[in-house]
Amino acid sequence: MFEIETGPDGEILLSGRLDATQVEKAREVLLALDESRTVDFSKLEYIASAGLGVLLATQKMLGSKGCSIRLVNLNNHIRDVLHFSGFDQIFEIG
Amino acid sequence: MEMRLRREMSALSSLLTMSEEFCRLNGLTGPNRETIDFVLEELFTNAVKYGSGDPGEILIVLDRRQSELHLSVTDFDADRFDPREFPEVEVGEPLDARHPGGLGIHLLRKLADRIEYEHHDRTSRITIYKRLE
Repeated sequence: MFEIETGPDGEILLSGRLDATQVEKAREVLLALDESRTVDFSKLEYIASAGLGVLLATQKMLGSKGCSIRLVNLNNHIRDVLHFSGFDQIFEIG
Repeated sequence: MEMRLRREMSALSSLLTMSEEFCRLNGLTGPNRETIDFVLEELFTNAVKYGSGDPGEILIVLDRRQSELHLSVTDFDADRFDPREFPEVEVGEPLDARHPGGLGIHLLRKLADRIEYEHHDRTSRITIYKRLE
């Protein structure tokens, strides 16, 4: 189960497990962004490489507009996966 | 634990359900479970994306031997693809130059302690060895 919704301050809230079967849900929301946002991972347990691809596509899309997403509250496994991917150099991670 | 799945993306849910059950039976949570899911999902989706295209079967075998996991994925109709020989992904490149392709195999190699590969008569088997955290 994976959910993506917008929080009260405009932050994007992810929850559950973002595997390849759920990635279109994330793509629909993230690739529709047109300004910088914070993406809160506090309730996200798992991300597959398909999910990493959506994050990368979102950052590239927003980067072309001078905007970006900031990733916060990652668990240790997801933090490791992002580090091994070099995403800590192309995303602000809080 | 073992399971045979059709080589099609719709079978991924069954694979992840199998992984969840394996983790439950073995008391595996947190990073151990996430690593198992990541490895299985990556190997299975690669088999579907780059496999023969025919509706064949993929054999998944999950085994815990004391403090080590053995995870194997066997495709019975596949070209040779040894993940150990896959080119390194340049993870230090700037955003403009980054592409998602190859990231899954790159991460698989980072997460595994050891990878074995066999290919004969179009049967391709990748086995991942991972010590429990």
